[in-house]
Amino acid sequence: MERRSSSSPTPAPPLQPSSPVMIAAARVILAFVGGVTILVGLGLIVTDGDRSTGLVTILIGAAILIAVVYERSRYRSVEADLHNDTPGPGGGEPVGALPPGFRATTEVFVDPSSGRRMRVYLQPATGDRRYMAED
Amino acid sequence: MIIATTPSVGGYRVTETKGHVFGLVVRSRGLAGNLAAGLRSLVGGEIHEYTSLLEDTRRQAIDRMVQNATLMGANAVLSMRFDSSEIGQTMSEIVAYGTAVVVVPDAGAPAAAE
Repeated sequence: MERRSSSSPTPAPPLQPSSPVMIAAARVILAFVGGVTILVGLGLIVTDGDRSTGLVTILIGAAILIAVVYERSRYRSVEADLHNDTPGPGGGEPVGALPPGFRATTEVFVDPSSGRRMRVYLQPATGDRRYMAED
Repeated sequence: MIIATTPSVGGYRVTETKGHVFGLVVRSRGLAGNLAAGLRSLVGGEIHEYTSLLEDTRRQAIDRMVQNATLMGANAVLSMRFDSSEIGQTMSEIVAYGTAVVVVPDAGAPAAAE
């Protein structure tokens, strides 16, 4: 490991946040595939009269669409996960949404996906933890 | 709540050991995330979708471990470790575990941040 002679620490370079374009493209592709699969299933029922194969095809298409619509993006907290609440910056709490009773801890880390600096907040009575972006 | 990977923490002494404590979680990235990760793996480099998945899984495992330690009446978890495995190739399991203890500031020891 390289040793630095300087006494002042050099700030670490900011992490490159991941691009959401790839996920958006995958969602569009899957939504298209799901829609086409449903149409094929409907076509099988209407044109060929093959009701069982058509229904199975429609169910597969519907499952793909449901998976795309209800896919969870980030973990925010145990409680938010139960209610499927939307995560804030860096996968933490939305700005100004920190419940009362939480106090800041010294636990800080950089979220690898967004590059945001996150601080952990703790509710001492329950042990609940929350994450808030600081920059 | 102090979480340390060491068996003791500077500035504190253990007065009571509550026992082992853990937080376990299994998460999956989802259909679109897995497809995006598969496409990204074709060109190489960091797979951000899975980095995000493991980061979130780590957070949730620690959250559950701290909740369990609080329930046990502990104010610190010592010798904390992570263990991980996969289920069905698309699901990630992470367990955070350690020893739940009660610590008090030790007047004779150098001060340490919480």
